[in-house]
Amino acid sequence: MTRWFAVRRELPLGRQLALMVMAFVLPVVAWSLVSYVPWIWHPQILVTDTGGSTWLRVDQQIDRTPFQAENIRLAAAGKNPARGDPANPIFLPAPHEVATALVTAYSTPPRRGDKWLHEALWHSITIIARGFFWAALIGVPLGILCGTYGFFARLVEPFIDFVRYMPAPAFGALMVAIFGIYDAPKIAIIFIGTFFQMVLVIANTTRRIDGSLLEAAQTLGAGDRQLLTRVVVPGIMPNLYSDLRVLLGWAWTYLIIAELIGASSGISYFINQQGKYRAYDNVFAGIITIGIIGLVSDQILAWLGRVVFPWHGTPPSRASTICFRVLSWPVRAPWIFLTWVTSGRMDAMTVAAEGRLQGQEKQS
Amino acid sequence: MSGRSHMDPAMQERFARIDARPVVLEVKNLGKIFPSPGGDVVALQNISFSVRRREFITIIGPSGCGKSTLARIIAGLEPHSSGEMLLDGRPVTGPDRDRGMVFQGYTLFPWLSVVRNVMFGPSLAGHTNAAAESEARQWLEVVGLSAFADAYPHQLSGGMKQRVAIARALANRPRILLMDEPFGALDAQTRVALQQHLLQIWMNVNVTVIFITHDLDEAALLADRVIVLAARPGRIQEIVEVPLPIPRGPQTLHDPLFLATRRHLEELIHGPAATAVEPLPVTRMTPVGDDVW
Repeated sequence: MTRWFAVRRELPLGRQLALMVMAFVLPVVAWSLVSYVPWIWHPQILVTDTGGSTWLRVDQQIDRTPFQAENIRLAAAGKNPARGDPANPIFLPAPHEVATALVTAYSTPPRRGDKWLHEALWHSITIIARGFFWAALIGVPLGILCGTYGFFARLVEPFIDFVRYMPAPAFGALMVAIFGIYDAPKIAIIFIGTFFQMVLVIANTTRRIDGSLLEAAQTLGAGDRQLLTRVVVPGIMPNLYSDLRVLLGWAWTYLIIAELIGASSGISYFINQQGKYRAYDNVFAGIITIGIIGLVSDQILAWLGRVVFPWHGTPPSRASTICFRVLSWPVRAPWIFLTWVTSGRMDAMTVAAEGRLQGQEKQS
Repeated sequence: MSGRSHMDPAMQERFARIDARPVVLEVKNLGKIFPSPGGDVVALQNISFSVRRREFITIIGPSGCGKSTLARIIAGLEPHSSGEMLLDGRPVTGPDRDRGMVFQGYTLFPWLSVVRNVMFGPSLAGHTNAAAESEARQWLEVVGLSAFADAYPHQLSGGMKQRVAIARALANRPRILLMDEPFGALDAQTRVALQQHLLQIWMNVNVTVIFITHDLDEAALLADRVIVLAARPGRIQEIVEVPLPIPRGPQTLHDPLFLATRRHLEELIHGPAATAVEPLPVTRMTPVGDDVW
């Protein structure tokens, strides 16, 4: 019998899974208790019968204290008491309401001028993808250069260190002035939010590469540029990949700010708008959707990292390797074909050239 | 260097033949100083020796004698402070493919398969992929790891990794194979096996070996000549010629000549009173002291 609490000892698989399920079940249970058990919390009263009161309305939600004060007043005046059920504030809908909203939010036609939730969501994803793409396109090479060459580190990092302390949302007004009110300033905010961190994080990751690998490569004849392309870049790939995974999480954080500047759009606009309509079940549906997308995409990326870099960290299972081979076939096929063709042709050319040389030697 | 008169005539002839070979590496009055805030530290002083073609040199010394620094200087990974170092008559300026190195910590590229690790040098040298690969497979054959060509380093044992590292260094056809305590991290059995493998490889490959170690048996078993360093400052104490015929095998370890050489090395490194270990003060922690008898 293994213990539940053992220092630095992994639990058996069954318990691991059980705990992982509990990680989600426990908060839902707590939420259900607060929502469905009337004597837990429920600080308000949903009025069902106004009794003799002149100002209470049916379906009105009111704090306990004024409700009870009103009933005492009514009793003193000899009128019928008002009745009502304990209720939670409307910003805390019950689980079943949110669950329903998760379906209806996608199936209900939006109000005039608004977008369907899935459209809003897709718009958000494209904003993140574009902002993150530009940040990575510049940030990754710059980070690697900073981590490799003291020249770039000294030239670039002090300024980036300075800028990264400025909160990205602070640039909102400026970005709108520069890029207009539509998607461009939002992409710029995502870029600002991730780019500066990215350069520093990747520079540090690059510095952590095992120096003895570089020395080994040097004794094998690698020059400066080959050290960079043949050792540093492939060597840091797995760590770089997980850095980008973390930074992608940051991008989601900045998205919420980014979408509220200029012309509001995307999932944050949906959430904000539903808040204004006081449809808090939809608000929760929106927030949970972001959480689900984040969790699922991160898990997929983590899995992908394991199969792409099998030599780093925990090796992937055989099943997932095969799964990856099959799924990635369309992507890899042209590449494999290309290397096959070029290497084959190169060899054929060398053989032919050698044949000609030998022929010439024989003639002379 | 002197005093071959006590040697077997056959061994005298062998060393005469070695002396007749061309010099590959010539180290003259080499010195290394590490500047430090508390004053400069002299790591190496007046190191002079020459290595002839296909010689097997081991460098041994107490810890802190600068033997690893010397290896790194020969590899070109560390600049020397004074003196001269000539490879085939040309001064050495930095690391290059003509001095392959095997490190204690394997240093295989984890993202490359075994065969691609071995291809690393040849493909940097401009060989086509196919040529580099067939070259690499030959070297894997030499170290007996053909079956693991497509495995990744993390799937290999320490001994196998080190054989790959040897193949990778040799695939460049270096003038000198430098080995910096290559078997230091291996268990005793694997180490003995790898010593034998290395001797075989050395017989079959045209390469000169400079091998750093702190293991007396290893130093005497492998070497034609053992360079014994002394510490603080690191300097050459003596260059010992090992009068043992080749090929050598595990049985060599019981050869009286081997044992004599080993004892001589031990005396050089630890002094004549080497075997006498300073006794601990007598402190009884148990009332019954007789149950271990």
